[in-house]
Amino acid sequence: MPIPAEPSDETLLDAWRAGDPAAFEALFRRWQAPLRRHLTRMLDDPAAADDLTVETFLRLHRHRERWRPGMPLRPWLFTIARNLARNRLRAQRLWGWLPLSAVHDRPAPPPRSDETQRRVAAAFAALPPAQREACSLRLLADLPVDEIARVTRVPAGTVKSRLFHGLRRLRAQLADLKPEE
Amino acid sequence: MATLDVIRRGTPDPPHDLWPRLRARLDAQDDVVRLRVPALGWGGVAALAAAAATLFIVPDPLAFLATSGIL
Repeated sequence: MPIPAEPSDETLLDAWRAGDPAAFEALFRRWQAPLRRHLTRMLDDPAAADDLTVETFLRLHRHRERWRPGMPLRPWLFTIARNLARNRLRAQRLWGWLPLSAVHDRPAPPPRSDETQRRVAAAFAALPPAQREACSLRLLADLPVDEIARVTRVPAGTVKSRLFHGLRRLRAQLADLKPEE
Repeated sequence: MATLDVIRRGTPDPPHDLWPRLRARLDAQDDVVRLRVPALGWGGVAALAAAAATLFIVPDPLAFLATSGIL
């Protein structure tokens, strides 16, 4: 008996726009984990990643009429998340310039108890931002190179170069960690 | 591939589901009335540009508007 194929993102989006709310929930459940993983690496803050994952889907909900048949959902979704993450990082930098930042009113990210988690977070944080973004989208969100190029608005060759150099740095930083424990 | 395994193991998915949070935000949005300003077309842009240019070109804009019957 053949296993029924999962509906594509675009099929779900179309169904949702036609009035099926369960399709929106299915889309969210499909993409919340990859988005959170990616945003956690971009922001180095799991709580902020949760906020922006929800915010990304709120924006998608608000602007759903802009989607046209044939337009792939995944690059659009990650572009929304990218813009939100950039705005947040920009705001954090601005707050860092203000003397109010000395008040420490923003909670620090929770300490990571797991050594692997701590090392992986540190390895990503040490990458240049463009390489971190490309590696995170490829390794943690499973986006193909052409979609990463669309999200980051650079040629595919540039994405490949960023991935090559980023992966080389990650391998060097994490070489002593064993894959299975 | 070993590095990839380490990276994935070092980036675990949080145990909590965010759907209830998104649902609550969407429900809250339903109570908010959003006002949309219509997009400015070429005609609007041209009118605004003409008005702005008038203010700079005419030596006494208020007198000009009064004599032309706008004020």
